[in-house]
Amino acid sequence: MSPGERMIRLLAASLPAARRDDRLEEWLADLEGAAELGLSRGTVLLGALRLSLTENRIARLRPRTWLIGGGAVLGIAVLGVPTVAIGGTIVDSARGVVTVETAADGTERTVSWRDYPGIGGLDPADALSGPTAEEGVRLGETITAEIRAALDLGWSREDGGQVFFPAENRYGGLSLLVVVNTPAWLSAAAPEDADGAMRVVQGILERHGFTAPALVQDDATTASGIAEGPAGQWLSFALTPESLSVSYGANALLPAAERSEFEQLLEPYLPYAQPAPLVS
Amino acid sequence: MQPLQRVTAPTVEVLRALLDAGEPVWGLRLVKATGRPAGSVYPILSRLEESGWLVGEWEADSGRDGPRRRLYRFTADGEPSAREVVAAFEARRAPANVWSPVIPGGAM
Repeated sequence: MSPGERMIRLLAASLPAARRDDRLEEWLADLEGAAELGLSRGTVLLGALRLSLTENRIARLRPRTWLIGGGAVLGIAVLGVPTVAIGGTIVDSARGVVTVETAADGTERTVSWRDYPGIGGLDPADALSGPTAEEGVRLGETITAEIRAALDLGWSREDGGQVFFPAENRYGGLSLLVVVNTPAWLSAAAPEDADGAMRVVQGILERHGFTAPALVQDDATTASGIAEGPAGQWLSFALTPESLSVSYGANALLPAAERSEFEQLLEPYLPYAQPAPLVS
Repeated sequence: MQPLQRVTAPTVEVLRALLDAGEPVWGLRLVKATGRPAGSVYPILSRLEESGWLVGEWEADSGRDGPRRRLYRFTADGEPSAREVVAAFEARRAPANVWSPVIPGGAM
């Protein structure tokens, strides 16, 4: 198995089950056929990476630090789960995930999680204490500007468009948290010293608290990878003989304007432990 | 079918490439045809498919071994809508005819 195929399999595995097999076969066929069209395999890898990130399936979930509030909840059982999965979006005509919560006095009540404003598996406190979606965009602009300033390669940007993308809450509804995915920067030429360029990129990322880029060498000339930031951010890049491309995004950030509504919608769920997410 | 929230140049280029082809097109061939990176084209295809403009289907009887290629074609509603979107986009980008006479009152 080639490194490129291994990366495709990893990316496909991060997708929800409903679309995992189709994407895997599509991307493998594209990887195999890229040369026929005069395209690099790195192009396919970056496309697969970008789509995975766009669809918010590669999020590295932070450890859950959710606490059961007040000791009131004694037991949880998942009663109902969404009944239909369409295009990777869990659809439920009724209440999404429903749990039965038992209070200390023995009374029971059902809780619908469809309108949960966070994302299952994530601590909502992280969303409230972390950067806003707007701050996340600004960080990306700063990092990519530093990279462009350090590497004089004639950069241009792909056409803009949507920057904030909706995210599922993994309980059958939509979260108020969003995925940030900014337009990629593409250099007009590849760096003469690719290793040196990557060290420059790594140094910039480290100053902003990012992990070292996890580089996948697709073949002798093409590599692509991703580095993760401290609060759900990521920077993906692809290095080919022709160019270096850099794309920034962030998972599960809260737009500043949504903070009040987020807190309001979250409040009824605070006494309860999160049930297991429907998709991971 | 859901309307497009925002029509960008890459989206129009993908739609135009599909219209020009007049038949189902391999997704990667759309990357080649538009000259856009797959990182742009894949998410566009995904959004168009989820919005009901396109349908993805597997290439049949290719004679090749290995994974099948994914082809994209318009839905019944998608094709006429795509023509409208492309035409409107191109009309907006067309340079104004500076020699057109200005008619007082705008009556035509």
